[in-house]
Amino acid sequence: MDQKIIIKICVGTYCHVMGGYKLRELRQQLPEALQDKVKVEASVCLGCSTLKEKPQPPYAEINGKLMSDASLEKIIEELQKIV
Amino acid sequence: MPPSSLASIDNDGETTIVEFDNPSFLLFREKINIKPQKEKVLLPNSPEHRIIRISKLKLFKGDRIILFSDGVNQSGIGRNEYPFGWDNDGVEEFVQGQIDVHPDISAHDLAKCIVRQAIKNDRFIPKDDISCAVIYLRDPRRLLICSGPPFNNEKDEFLASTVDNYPGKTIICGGTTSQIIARELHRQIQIDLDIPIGDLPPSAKIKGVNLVTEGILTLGAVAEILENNPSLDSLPDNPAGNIVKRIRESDMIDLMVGTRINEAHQDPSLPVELEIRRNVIKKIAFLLEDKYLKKVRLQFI
Repeated sequence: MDQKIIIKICVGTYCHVMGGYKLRELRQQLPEALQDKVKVEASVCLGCSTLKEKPQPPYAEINGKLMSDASLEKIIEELQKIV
Repeated sequence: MPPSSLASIDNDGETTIVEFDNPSFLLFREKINIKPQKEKVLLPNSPEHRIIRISKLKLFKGDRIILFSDGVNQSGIGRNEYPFGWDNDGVEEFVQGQIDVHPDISAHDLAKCIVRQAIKNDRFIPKDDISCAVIYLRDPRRLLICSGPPFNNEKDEFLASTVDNYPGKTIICGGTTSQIIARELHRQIQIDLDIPIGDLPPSAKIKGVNLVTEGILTLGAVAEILENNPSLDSLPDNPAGNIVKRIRESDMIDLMVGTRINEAHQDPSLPVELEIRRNVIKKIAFLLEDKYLKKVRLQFI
């Protein structure tokens, strides 16, 4: 795969207090096989304040697709499916 | 009466300095050391014929007054380098050097480096009280802190242009607020994920803005730091500490508070109670005026 998978983690207030701060470890926790294939970015808000029906925070976004109730395990699992 | 120095300065720069038993104060104007005339007055009813020195002068923008105790000019006394101490000439030369190299040095920093040098002269074991006060006449330093989206989104543009055109430093506190401003100014928000993970969300960068942080948690931490009033050197190395540092370095602080409620913060399942932005900002404004003697303007949009 030439293009890297872009993953954004939310560092906004709502996600931070709902456990999102743990997602900041993602880069260090990525399995070696994924490290060159993934670009980890952050967002100050992935849009929770505009969503009408709020799924469970914290949020992450993988190639533009919103993931709710995000955890390191869930994100890594999803990435392994894509690669 | 112990050695003392008093400086009284009016708004228009008319100044009286009264000195008793302290080394003579220094006056630097545009990097030049000026020796003002002093009137010597015999203290009435003093058996030792003690005198006070009174200087009346007019100060201008850019002037610096340096007052210090004799522990400063007598520091290092007896050492080979300073058989008679650092001496007034030594202090003058040192201050001149500092001002030549750092023409904008703050009063705080100049006083600190004079004291440090004096302690160094005494080989880090001060032999006397080493005190220094510096007065620097300059334009007020202004700081704008914006937090919260405007109640009406027609005001988004106003908020962004206020930040962009502000004659001073600018801080944005809040994810949505920074997204509004970045959008209106067509700029990017960059978040540095490399900074250590702490209790507070990381700060971010927007071109032209001095500091971008998360909102309510960071402001809560700012209020807490301001209440405890730590020294500038012991501020926490996190976004809240950085905000306090900028506040302390400023004289006039404009607080622009957006009043739109963040729906996400109304979630009853939140593990912490997020305080209402307006209340936190009001608390900060009160502390800044009451405890730090800052000029504060509070505007709700």
